[in-house]
This record gives sequence, C-alpha cells and structure tokens, in this order.
Amino acid sequence: MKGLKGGAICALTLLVAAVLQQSLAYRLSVFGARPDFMLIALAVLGMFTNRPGGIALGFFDGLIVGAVANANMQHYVASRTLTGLLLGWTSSVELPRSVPAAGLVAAAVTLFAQLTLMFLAPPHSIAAFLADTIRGAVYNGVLAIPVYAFLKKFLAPVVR
Amino acid sequence: MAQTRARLDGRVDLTSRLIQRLTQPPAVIITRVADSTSDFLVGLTHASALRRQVAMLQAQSGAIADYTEQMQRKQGEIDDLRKLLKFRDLPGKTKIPAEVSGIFAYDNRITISAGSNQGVQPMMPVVSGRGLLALVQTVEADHSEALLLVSPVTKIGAIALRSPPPAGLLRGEGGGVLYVDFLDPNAIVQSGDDIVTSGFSDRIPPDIPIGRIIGIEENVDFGTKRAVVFPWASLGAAREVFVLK
Repeated sequence: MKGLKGGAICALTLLVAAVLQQSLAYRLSVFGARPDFMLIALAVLGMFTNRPGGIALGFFDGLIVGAVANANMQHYVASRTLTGLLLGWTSSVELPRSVPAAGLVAAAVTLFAQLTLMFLAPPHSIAAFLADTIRGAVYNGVLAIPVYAFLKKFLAPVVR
Repeated sequence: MAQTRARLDGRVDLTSRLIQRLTQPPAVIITRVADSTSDFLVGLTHASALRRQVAMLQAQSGAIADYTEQMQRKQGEIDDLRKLLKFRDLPGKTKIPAEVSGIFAYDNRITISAGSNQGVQPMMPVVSGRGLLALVQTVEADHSEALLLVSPVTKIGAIALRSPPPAGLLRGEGGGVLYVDFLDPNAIVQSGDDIVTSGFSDRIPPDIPIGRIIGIEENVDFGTKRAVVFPWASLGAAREVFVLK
C-alpha cells in the first residue's frame, strides 16, 4: 500500500471503524464478546503496510479510539502504536498473507494491543479484562476475514 | 498534555472534538437505523405476543380509567358528607337525614327516603353538603318528592351577600343555572357575589347557600335587573341530603 490512495483508504477505513465502534459494537455482543472495529481495522490495514506505515496507522488508530471514547489518549496511542510497529515488522518477515491468516493476525493484534493497554492502564479486574480480551480476540478474528477480503481489492500488497 | 489541560479546564481538546464531530453524526444515524431494524425484526418474530400484550394493556388501561372515575366520584361523595356533617345547625330547625333514592332529571325532581313518618312536610328545603338543592313538593309516609331549584316551577326568596343585601326572587329555567330577579332594578350586585336564601318564608330558613353570581343581565327599557347564578348543589353529586324541619 502506497501513496495518496492508500492513505485515503486507511483514513476512510479508520473513520468507518470509529463510526461502527460507536454505533454497533455493543449491539453485536455475542456471549459477552464484543467486536473492536478499530482493532480489526488496524490488523487488516497493517497487513498491507510496512514498518513506518504500521507505526503511523497505530498512532492514528489510538488517537481516534481515545478521542471517540474521550478517554486518556496516551495509553491508547502508545499501545496501538506499538501494535502497529509490530505489524509493520511482520511485513519484513515471510508470513502468509491470506484471508484465513487475516483472522489469526486480527486475533493476535487484539491480544497484543489489549495486553499492552493492560500494563499501561491496569483495569480494576484483570481476570475479567483478560476474559473479555480473549473473547474479543476470537470475535475480531472472525470479523477480520471478510474485512480483509474486501480491502484486498483496493489495497496493493506490501512491498518488502 | 493538551487533552489533560483541556480536561482541567472542563472542555474537550481540539483533536478529540474534531474526531468526534466527524464520527458522531453518522454513528447517530446508524444507531437509529439499527434500532428501527431491531424493532422491526422483533415485531415480525413476536407479533402474536405483542398483540396479546397490547390487548392486555388496553384492558388494564380501561380498568384503571374506570377505577379512577369511581374514585373521583367517591371522593366527591366523601367531600359532600363532610360538608353535610359540618352544615351548621339553624336555630329552630332540625335536620332529617335522607337518601336520594330516585332522580328524574327531565322533570327536575328527586325522590328522597324520608316522608311524613320522619316529619317531612311540603315546601321544606332539601340541602346537600354544598347548599340548597330542592324543595319538598309531595310527601308520602316513607318517602317524598322534591323539586330541584333549577325547576322553572320553583320560586324562592334569595339575597346577595352584600351590605345592604339586595333581595330578589330566585327561579330556575330548567337548565344548569338559576336566575334571581331583583326587586330593586338599581340593586348593586356583581359577578362573584354569593346568593343565599332570604328567609322570607316560614319554611325556608335564611342564609342557606344557593350559588354564586356568574353574570348580570340588565334591561334598562324595562327597568329590570337579574343575575345568573351557578348553583352549588348539583344533582349528580348529591346522594345523602338533609331535610330542614
């Protein structure tokens, strides 16, 4: 993914994810698991970016999450930027880029981002937070598959 | 830093505000669409249960309305009874308690459950808790017929509570109001004045409340003045009454 088109698609995807996060996330709760559209967007878009792109993506993802929730931005920006960095790093590694792999990447991204957030801003109940994170990781993994399949049509594969 | 400073000032920082303004309007629209879709689907899948609930709620609503109406009526009756109990004793008069056992609104007549056995005689006043309601017309041993004040046949002396009190002849015209034709066309009366019995009769004692003036009709050509009076005692509200003997 390169250039203005790629940036525009990333920005649009992040904004759509933010809108869906506000309006639909709590409605789509299944067995206590809720999707995190911002993390899905980060995971899927991150599969098409390199390391600097991943950092930028993670930064803006965290910024938007913090702004939408009116929460402490620093924790979200830090945790998501780190996640973006990790995603960008994987672009230099020979990992399979496929529709099913998108599910696994989204689940891993969810776990990593949420665990990083847990260390930066410890929640009241760590056990409940971990349970939510695991359930959310599975949910995000499932939802990331169609999102990846859709975005693949518009975004070029990463240039290594 | 900017976010913390803004929070300390009690406002939202510029970045958050910008992002919220971008994302919130479409989020609101999507939420509404999701709500509507959810309601529609619930309506489709739970139609019969919803119909049952609507029928049940309608039945409950009707029952509540009936109950409220009944309660209001009972409350009115309680108020009347309280007033009756407090109705002052008139010198030389005793109160014969009676129940209104029949109402003939078209004839402006009521039947009360007290008759000659209780000492009731024609032309005795029948009062409810609010004031003068009727005059006894015919008497049987155990019940009596009384003509309501609003009957065109009923005519009694009345005065307005003023100083000096202008006197007149009170009569009904079959409607919901009474009229007082004042003997003096220059009598000073006005809307809001209370009308009571004059006591110019050996059967009807003075100062029984009748009603309040709600209008004055003056005829300069004929030199007459009459007041439109809203009666305190109403037919529907009276169940327990006293006959003043």
